[in-house]
Parts: sequence; structure tokens; C-alpha cells
Amino acid sequence: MSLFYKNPVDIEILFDGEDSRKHVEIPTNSHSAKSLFDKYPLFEDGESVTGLVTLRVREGKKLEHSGIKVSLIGSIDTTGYNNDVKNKNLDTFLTLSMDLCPPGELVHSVNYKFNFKDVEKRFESYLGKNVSVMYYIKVTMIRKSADIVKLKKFWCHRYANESSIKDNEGKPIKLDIGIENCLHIEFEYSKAQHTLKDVIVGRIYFLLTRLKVKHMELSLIKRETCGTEPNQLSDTTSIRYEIMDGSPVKGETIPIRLFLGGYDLTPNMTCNYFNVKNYLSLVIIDEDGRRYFKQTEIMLYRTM
Amino acid sequence: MLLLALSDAHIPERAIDVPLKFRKLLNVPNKIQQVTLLGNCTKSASFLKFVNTISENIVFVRGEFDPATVSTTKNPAEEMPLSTVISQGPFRIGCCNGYTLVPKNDPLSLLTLARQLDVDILLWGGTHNVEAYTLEGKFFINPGSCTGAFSTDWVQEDVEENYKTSEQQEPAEASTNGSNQQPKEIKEEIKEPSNNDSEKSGEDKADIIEDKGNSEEHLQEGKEYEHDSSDDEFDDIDINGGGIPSFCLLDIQDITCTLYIYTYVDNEIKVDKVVYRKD
Amino acid sequence: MSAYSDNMEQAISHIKQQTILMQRSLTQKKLMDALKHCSDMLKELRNPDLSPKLYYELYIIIFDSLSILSQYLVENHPTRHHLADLYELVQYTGNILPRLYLMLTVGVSFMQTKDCPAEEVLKDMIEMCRGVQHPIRGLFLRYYLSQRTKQSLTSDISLDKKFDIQFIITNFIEMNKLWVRLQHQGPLRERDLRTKERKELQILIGSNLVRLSQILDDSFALYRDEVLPQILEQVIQCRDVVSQTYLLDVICQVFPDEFHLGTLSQLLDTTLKLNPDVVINKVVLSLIARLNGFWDRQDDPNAIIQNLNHLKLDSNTDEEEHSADDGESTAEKLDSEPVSRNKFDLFFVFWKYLTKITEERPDLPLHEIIPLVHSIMLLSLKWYPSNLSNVDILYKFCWEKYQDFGKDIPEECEQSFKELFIYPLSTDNFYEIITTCDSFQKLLSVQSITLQKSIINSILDKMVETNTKITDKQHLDKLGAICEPIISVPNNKPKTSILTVSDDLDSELTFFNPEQEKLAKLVHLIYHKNVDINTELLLICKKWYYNGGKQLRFTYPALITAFWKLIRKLHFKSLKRPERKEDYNAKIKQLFKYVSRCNTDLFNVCGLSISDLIFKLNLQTAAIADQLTLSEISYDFFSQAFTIFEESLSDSKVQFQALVNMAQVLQKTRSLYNDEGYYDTLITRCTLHGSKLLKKTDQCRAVYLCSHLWWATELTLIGEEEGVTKNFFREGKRVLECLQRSLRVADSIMDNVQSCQLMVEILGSCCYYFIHGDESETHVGVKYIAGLVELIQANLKGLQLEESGEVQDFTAPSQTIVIGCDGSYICKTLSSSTCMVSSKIPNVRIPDLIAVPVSYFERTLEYIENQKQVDYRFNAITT
Repeated sequence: MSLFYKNPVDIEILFDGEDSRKHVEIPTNSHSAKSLFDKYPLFEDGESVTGLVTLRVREGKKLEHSGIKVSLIGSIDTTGYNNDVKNKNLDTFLTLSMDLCPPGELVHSVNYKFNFKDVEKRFESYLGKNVSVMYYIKVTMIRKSADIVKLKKFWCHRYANESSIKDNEGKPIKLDIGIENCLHIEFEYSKAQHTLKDVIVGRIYFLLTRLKVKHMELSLIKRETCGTEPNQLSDTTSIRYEIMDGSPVKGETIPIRLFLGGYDLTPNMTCNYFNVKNYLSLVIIDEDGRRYFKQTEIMLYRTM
Repeated sequence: MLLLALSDAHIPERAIDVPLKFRKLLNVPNKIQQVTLLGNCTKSASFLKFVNTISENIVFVRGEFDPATVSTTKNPAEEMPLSTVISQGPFRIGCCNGYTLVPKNDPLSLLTLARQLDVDILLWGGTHNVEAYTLEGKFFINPGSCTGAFSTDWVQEDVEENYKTSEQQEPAEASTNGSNQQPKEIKEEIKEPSNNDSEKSGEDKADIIEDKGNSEEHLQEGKEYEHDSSDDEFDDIDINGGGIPSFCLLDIQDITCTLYIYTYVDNEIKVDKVVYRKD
Repeated sequence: MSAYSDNMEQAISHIKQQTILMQRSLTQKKLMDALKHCSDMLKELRNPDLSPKLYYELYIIIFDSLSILSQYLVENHPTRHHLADLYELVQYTGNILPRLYLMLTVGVSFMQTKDCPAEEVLKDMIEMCRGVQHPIRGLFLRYYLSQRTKQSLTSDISLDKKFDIQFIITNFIEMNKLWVRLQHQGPLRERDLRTKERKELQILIGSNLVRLSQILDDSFALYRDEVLPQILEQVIQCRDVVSQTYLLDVICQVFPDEFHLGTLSQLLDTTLKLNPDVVINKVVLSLIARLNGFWDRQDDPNAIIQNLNHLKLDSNTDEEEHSADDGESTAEKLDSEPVSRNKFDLFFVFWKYLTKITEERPDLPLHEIIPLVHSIMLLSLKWYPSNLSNVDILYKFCWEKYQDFGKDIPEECEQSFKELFIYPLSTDNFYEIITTCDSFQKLLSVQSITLQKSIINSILDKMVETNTKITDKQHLDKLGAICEPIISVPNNKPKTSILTVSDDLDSELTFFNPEQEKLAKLVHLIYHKNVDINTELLLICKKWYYNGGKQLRFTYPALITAFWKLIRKLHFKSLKRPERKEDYNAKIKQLFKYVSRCNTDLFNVCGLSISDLIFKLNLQTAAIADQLTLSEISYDFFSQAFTIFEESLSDSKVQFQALVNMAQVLQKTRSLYNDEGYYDTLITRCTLHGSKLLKKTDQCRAVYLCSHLWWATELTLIGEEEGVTKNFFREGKRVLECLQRSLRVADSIMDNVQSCQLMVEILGSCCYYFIHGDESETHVGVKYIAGLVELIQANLKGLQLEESGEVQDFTAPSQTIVIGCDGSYICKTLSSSTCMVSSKIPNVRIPDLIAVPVSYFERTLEYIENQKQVDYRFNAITT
């Protein structure tokens, strides 16, 4: 729409100290994008969001408007799954607005500061298959004709409250599984809840093995659930990690050690509209290509 | 052309084997073209096998202890002749054990035989003593016994007992060489080179035997046989009749026959050379 | 997960390419890229289709590439990176195999730096290696670990020795497990292939033990208390034949001999617990080979034995202490074995072991026990060469075992038994062993005849080879018992193929018996300085040989020779000590009786087939008796010879030769010219027999040869000399009579060629006598010779006239035929240098035959001509 009709005004949103602020790189989900990643400035829950809006008018032009305002918006988009743009299923859970300027005429380029103080951000930013959680600053110049709008996305990380989690942390996961007369293993992960920088440590003890195992993998699976019944499920394998090569004999113990810190993982999330859970999946692949697996839910959380 | 003359092995009835050093010396296949066995060599399979490795051309004559027939490739029961002839270049070589020669070992008898066989060289055996001489322009060769076997002929009787050293015999060796080079046409018999050596040779061997076998034994049994005060030892070679192991090798080139006499003295091989030319 | 290459070429080029890229990245200090390339090349090691050999090839290349990386990592720490971080970083690699290789590379590099918690890292690495359970890949990974740590551990880092050792042992145990597991990979039908592959890989496992021995150095206590028990436990537990065999062998090879001496019973006990399919004797043999090698390497081996004994005394006192003191000399601790406590005798240790193993493993087949015994024998003969009772015990043990197993010795044991018997023959004590160890013979006697014979042959060969003299009655008895199978063999074919003579002589073997030949040679080994004892020994020998039936003909002649030698020896003695002559003579007479006995036995048992031989033996004995002036005895033997001649020699040729031989012998006698007229009787009888021979040609020759019986010639050996010695036995008249008689026979022969030939031969004889003496003595004078020459000339003319049709051919007389001394025709063959000899008239042209006497006559005349120049008397003969 802007090809033929250029916006009469340039709106630029700049956060305070944006250059020095930490950014996150998020894989783009749009195919047209030039780079694989989008970079977003990172904010925490409860952090003030401050910045500067710059409006530039073209030389010698005047621009009449009915007021300019700035908003901070947090929204959950569950559109992805039906892909129907018109039926955009957007739930805005957070809207904070402030006026920058009363109606009037804009002759020169103008700067306005904005400041949303101690904004509570209930959800982490998230970009999933069917669901996304977005935060952005929206500057709107209200006009009689079409409003001129400028958005600027930012990213939000929420850090878990360590004390609430520590209660369960010490408990290891122990499982004893098998296929009758074929395979019997015990495995153990040192704990069920991990921070995103954690190491998953464990071991697998082969009590009985008649399978001709080719290899064994550990995968971390992110499961995104959204919508009402029937739930819209989407599994994404975040990590595939071979932990054993060859076929062990009875009595063999295989160590597990998986560093999480190097991967881009999503902590567990829950809200009305969707939730994200993480599973560890132990997969045994036999020589005929058959896969045997056991999934165990683990809790991932973000810490400072 | 090399011709090997072996005689009087008497294996196993009188001797165990050819000295090992002889065996090693002769272990050169395809070098020697002709072997003559001059009697009393056919009782041992191992010996014949050994001879067969030297050369496959073997000429036998019969000694008194040989069977009347011998089996060859052509004939399973070929009669063993008393005498035969080998032609080699300009030479006719007669072979005979000589046990039917009367008187035994007599140069004139041998000469008569050589004439009868019309030969230039006569190889004979039976005496266990190596000798070579020319008579009437003919060359007479007795290779002796290749094992130094016991001989039933007359022996030198005034032998020394073994423990008395016989250094005074040393010069005898020198005369051996001399005797072989005596000019031809000397009619009388040239004394066989080994005879004088006999007391000396093999003496070491006998010593060893004594050490090995008797020192203890003697102590034990000494009392029982006390009456036999003289357990003195005699050289085995004297007992055997003085013959030391020996054989001859004839190298025939054109009209020249070079004779090599190999003797086994004091565990060493000694070689003497005599040249004979056909006129 | 990306894949590995399809074939070796691709894989190798891929690795090389990645190596180059990695090196480039490293020079540009782009470590992450370098790691990526490494990880990429390591994928090639994931290929499951490679044989161990090919896999090893790839491994080698990769090892080198990773060495480059490792060097970079060490050099740039901590300036560009911290290895602790990298250690974590590389663990993000998704595939386990590349991950672990990288991790080990980084980990070991890390350990080379000062701030590294080396033990922690080592523990972690070895633990994580468990992730690779595939036998080949796991083996190589762990081998990589051991190779890498070997480089770094020894030099810079001083880890606790114990920790180091434990680390290697752990790795060793895991490697062995993987190695054993390899056996069970793949389809069952490829079992053998697997075994082969495993053997190709064995060095990977063995290298751990080599490392251990290097690290241990001389820490014996550590070895005995920590290392060996763990290794042995693994050996026992893995229950795998290939592994157990190999590992025990390696243990024997890599650790010092002193260690083995100190842990013998541990090692031996282990062999009791092995998989029943393991060939225990191989293990024991290699241990013993080791100990024997140790013995050989000692400057003073006896000191070792002294040492062992010394230890035995100490062992009770310092029992408790030795676990504490590590670094002291190992020699002091070679003791604590319960078996050795009462007596540290190596043989005893093994002997106890042998009894134990047969108790605990009654299933052990004979063919495995015997080699075990064999190896213990090797030990005993090396360490206690003079203690032959050990050897006897072992043979006895085998004998008992044999009895347990019943009558039949399984075929597969044959070889083992053979070695058991053969081995002692190679030692210096072989003679003592076979003569003093009763059980040797006992055990040998239950073997198959073929084996027994083979052993006996070896024994005899060895005896002959070493010229071992038999001087003792007991020894001789023992030998006799051992040789029994080849002595008395009534229904045995004499032809056994111990000796193979090349084909053209093969059929001759009917005359031979190699075994009997060896047996006969044994006689020449019997020797005792004392003649009486020597005689006794020979009589024992004679007794056994008598059991050989017709085989006597092989063995008795040797025995007779031995008696002859004793006779001559006694004769020499009596010459030396005339005062004892009587005594010696009595003995000599007794010996002649034994010879006579032998002759009689030969005749009775073997009969006519060898009468010629017996005849000759009698003659020669007679000659010896004569030389000793024992005329009576000599006469008896001559008479015996006549008896045989008359009764048993039937073949005319044999008769002729025998008779002439007798004449030869008689002509040399000296003692028979006595009052009884023995000589006269004998020579007359001889000549008479000669004149009665069947063929006239033989008669003729025999008689002219017998003429020499009346013409004694000088015996220089006893001091006679022609012209000096006066009293030669010579009767020229009788000589002439013989010649005349001979000539008459010659003349009466119908075959003119033979007749002329004989006349020329007689002419030769005449010349002999002519040279020898004056006509007054010899009665062979000029006239007689001239007459004979004339007669021959006339006869030859007649002969030539007979064939007048071909007279012209005489101009070129043939050289190809002569007549030999027994009248046989000796014909030169065209094809070879040798002649055909035959008693039959050869198939040649008559003129050639006629030429024989003609040319012989010419030669004789020429001789007479020549003699004229030397001896004037010859001038009187006109030719």
C-alpha cells in the first residue's frame, strides 16, 4: 500500500539504550524474510519499557492529525493453525497506552519520550507452530483518513522463581520399562526439573537385552498444545542426541550427559490458550530400523 | 670329470658310518660324475642312499661280504661282477675288490690283472689301507676303507698302548707326502701313506671314549676284576688293523689323472695329491 | 545425521580433505570450524561395514589428524580458549562416536596442562566411553584412549601409579569384553570369520598389558596384589576361548620372569578355571618356555635355584610384610605361594598342578594331558637337568593315565606321545633318561608298534650320532627292553619305510633292513675297557639278537666283529705282558668259541640262504686265529669253512669265488706249518676242490691260483722280506704241477676263445713265478714259458684260421671286450663309459671275441719284452 502512496511521516521507535540492550535472535517464521533470524531487544517481566518516538515530516509539508498515542501491547496469536487471516484469533492480554501529543498539525520533526513503568508481562514471548506470544510498542497517529501506525516488537523473558522450584528439584526420575522377554531397562535422570542451562545427567541400565540395538538416542521434545478440544498438538524435537552406539549386553550401564545450555529451548509455559511442555524421549533403534521409545516429561525453566 | 672311489664301508657289521666330515665334504650333488664302490659297501641302506646323492652313476664290484646280486633300475637281480672296466677319455679304469686275487694285495698279481683287463688305472680294495703307486706305467689305487673298518688281515703287532703318547711318530707324516710323489716307474711297492700314521691317528678319540665310559665304571667294578691288572687301552685304529678312514677322488682331464687321497686323521681331513699321465 | 562414505577410497579422501580444511582453519585460528571438520571426518569411523583391517587403516589416518588438533589445543591454551570449556563444547556433537573422539582428544590435551584435574578427566572419559557398545568401534575408541593417555600420562603428569594402573586395567577389562562380544556378532555361519577378525584385533587388547608391565616396572607387590588378580579374574570371567588363550599367553610374555616365578600358582590356578575348550597345555607351554628362557638368560642359573631355596626358608617370616613394601627387589617376594612354601622347587609346583588339574578336570582328554606333561618335562630338564627322577615321575604319570584311559591310545595322542619320547633325545642326558627311567620303557611299550619303532629308530640314531658308549649291563638291559619290538619280529616284514631310498635303489631294500642296520650298529657302541665286562655286555646283546629269528643275519656279523676286536685287543695285551699270556689266551679261546657259536646260530637259524656269508666269517676267523698262532683253532675254522663249502654252497659261481677266496686266505697263513701238517691238509683239500669245480674254466683258474698256496710271499707287517727271510713255505715243484694241471684243463676246453684266454692267464702266472725266483726254486723256467708262448701262438693261429672268412678284420683288433678274473666278459657299451659284465658270451661278432685272447696275448708279450730291459733273465724268452 505504500508503494504508490508514501507515508507522509516517518515514525521511528527507539528504546532507551537499545544498542547496548541484550537482544535475542528468533528464527523467522515468514518465508519472505531475508535473514534466518529476527533480532529483538529483550525485556524482563516487571521491567519498565521506555523509549523515544521520533516523527519525521517531509520537508515543507504539513500534517494534520487528531492526536498521537503510544501503546504497549501483549497478545497471544493462535491464528497459525487455521491460517485464516480474516478470522484472526488474537487475544490481547495487555494494553497500556499514553498520549504523546494532542490533535494538531505537525510541521517539523518531533521527538516524544514514552515510559511504561514496571510493566507486568504475564507471559514469555513465544513463537511456536500454532501459537505465538508477542509484545510490541505501537505508535498511532490518528487521522481523519487512515491512521498511521508503527509497531516495534520486543521480546520478553520471564525468570522462574527459584525458591518455588527448588522443592522438587532433588527428586530424580527413575523408570523401569521393558518389552517382555526382549528388553528390560532401568533408567534414571538425576532430576525432573532443569534450568535451561542445566546438564541432564543420567544412566541406563540394561537388565535384559535381546534386541539387536543399533543405537540409542535421547531427544528433547517440545510439545505445544493450544485451543480447546480437540487440542491442537504440535511436537518439535529440540535436541537429538545419540548416547549409545552398538548393542549392549546384559548388565551394561550407559551414561547420559546432555548439556542444555547450548540449545535454544523453550521453558515450560501454561496459560488459558495454550501450553508448552518438554519431554525427554529415550529412543532405541534396532538393526531393522524399528524404534522403541519412552517419553518422560521434564520441566524446563528459565533462570537468570 | 670326477670319479669317486669308495671301498670297504662294512656298515653296519664292522663300522657305524662314514666320518661326518667325509659326509659333509661329499655332500655336493652333481659335482661328481661317477662313483665306484669297490666291495663290501652294499649292506647299509643309509650308506647307499648317501652314495646315491653324490652321483647316480654307480659302479659296483663284489667284495666277499656282498650279496651275489644287486638290484638296479635295469635289473632287480643284477649279478655283481668281480671286476669291471670304466672308460673315461683315454683311460681305461679297472675296478676289482681283489678278494679273489691270490696272493692278496700282491703288486705283481695286480699288474697281471691290470694287463688282463687292459686298463691304465686299476682301482682295488679289500685291504682297508689306502695306497697308490705306479707300476709298469699303470696306476694302482686302493682307496682304503671309507669307514676305517676292522680288517682281518695281518696287523702290525708292536703297537703302542694308547696312553703313551706317540709324538715320535710325527716325522712319519712328512714321509707320507714324499712317498706319494715318488717318480713313476719305480717298480717296488710304495708304502701306503697311512700305515705309519696309524698309531697316532684317532688317539684323541680314544681318549674321550675312555673318559666318558670308564672313569666311573672302573671305580665300581675295579675290585671285582682286580685280577686283570692291565686294563690298558689300545688305539681303536690299531685294533681295527691300522686302516684309517679314507677314500680317493680321481680328476680326469684329457690325458691327466689327478688323484686326491682323503684321509681322516685326528678328526681332521687330510688331502694328498698324486698326478698320473698317460703316455 | 550425515552418513559415512560408501567405500574406502572415498572415506580416505574424505578424511584427508577434512584434515586439510581443519589445518587451514587452525592456521586461521578458527577453532570452531576446525572442530566441525574433525567431527565430519570422524563420521567415517561410524561405518559398520568395514572389516577390522580397513577400519584400522582409517583409524590410523584419523589418529594422525587428531594429533594435529591436539597439538593446537595444547599450544593455544589458555590464551585463545580454555580446554575445560572446550571439553564441554565438544560434547554437543550429536553423534556419539565423533563426540567421544573429540572429547578424548580435548580431554587428553587438557590433561597436559597444569591446571587440569587429570584424575577427574580420566575417570570421566573412561566412563563416557561406555556409550560405544559396538565391539569394533568401541575397541578402537578405547584403544584411542589408551594410546592418547600413554603419550601424555607417562611424561608430564605424575599421576598416582595405582590410579594409572587402575585406569589401564579398567580400560583393558572393557576392551576385552568388547573383543569377546565381537565373536557373537553377525550370523552364526560367519563364526570362523569372526574368530579370524578377532585375532587381527588382539594386539589392541594386548597393548594394555604391555602398558601395564611398563608402568609396573619392578613393583612386584603391586603386580601380585592388584594387577594380576584383576586381569586373571577378567580372563576367567570372559569365558572366551580366543581371549583366554591369547591373554594368558600375553601375560606370560610381557611381564618379567621374576614376576611369574612369584605368581606361578596364581597363574596355574587360573588355567584350571578356563573354558574347557581352551588348550591348557599351550598356555602352560608358553609359561614354561618363558621360565626356560629366563634360565637361559642367567649368567649363573644355579644361583636362581639357590635363590629359590633361600626364599623357601624366608617365606614364613616375612609373609606379613611384603604387602607393605613396594619398591624393594622383587626377589624377596617370590615366596608367598602356598604350594612353594614347603619346597620351592619349580618342578614340584608344576607337578602339583598336574595332579590337581587331572583331578579337577577329569574330562581332559589324553591328548591334552600329554603335551602338558611334555612341557613340564621341558621345564624339569632345563632347571633340574640332573634330576632324572622328575622325568621318570612324568613318564610314570603318563603311564598311569594311559591305563585309566584303557587300552587304545587315541590316534590324536600319537603325535603328543611321540614328542614326549623324542624330546629327551635332544638333551644331553638322553642316554641316562632312557636307561634309568623305568617308566620310559614301560610307557613306550604300550604305544602302537609304528610309534615304538619310530622312537626306537630315533634313539638308535641318536646313540650313533652322539657315539654314546654302552658300558653298563643295566643300561644294556634297558636298551634291550626298549628295542624289543624291533628285535623279535617273527612276522614282521623287514621292509619298513623308515628310510626312503630314491626309486632306483628302492627294490634293493629287500636286502636291507634299516632298523636292523641300526640295531647292528648298536653293537659297536658297546664298550668297556675291561675285556671281561665287555664280553659280558656282548653276550647280553647276543642273547637279544637271538630272538630276532632270521634277522640274525643283520645283527650277528656285527657281534662277530666285536668279538674279533676283543680277541685282537687281548692279543696285543699278551704281547705287552707275556707273563699273562696264558690268562689272555684262555680268554681268547673262549672268545673264539663265542664266534663259533654265532656262526652255528647263523647257520641253524638262517640256513642255506646265507651260507656264503657264514663261509666267509669262518675263513676270516680262521685267519685271525692263525695270526695269533692258534693253529688248532684256525684249523677248526678252516674245516668249518670246508664243511659249509662242501655241504651248502651250490651255485657254481659262488663256489668258485669262495674257493679262490679261501686260497687267498690260506696263502697268508703262517701258523699251520706244524707237525700235524694242517697247512698241507688244507691246501691240498683246497686245490682238490678247485680241480673238482663244475666248470672247466673255473677248475683251470682255481688250480693256477691254488699254485700260490705253495709259494708264500712276504708279509712286511710281521717283518718278512723277500730275499732276507729264508724260511718261506715254497715248493716250486708243486707250483709247476698246478700250472701244468691247469694248462691241461685249459687245453681240454672246447671253446677256443676261453681256452686261449686261459692259457694266456697261465702264461701270466708263469711270468709271476719267473720274476719271483730262479728256475731252480720255482721250476718255472725259460723253456717252460717259451713252450707255453709257442703253444698259445699255435692255438691262436688255429683260432684265427677257424674264422678265416673274416681274417681281414683282425687288423683292427677290438678294444671293447676283455675277460675278467673270473672269466666273465666285460664289454664296453657304446652308450656309456661303464661296461656290461656277463658270464655269458656276449652277442658280438666272432672276430671281436677272438680278438680278446689275441690282444691279451700281445699285451703279455709286450710285458715280457719290457721286462727284458729290467731283468736280463727274460732275454732268454724268445717271443
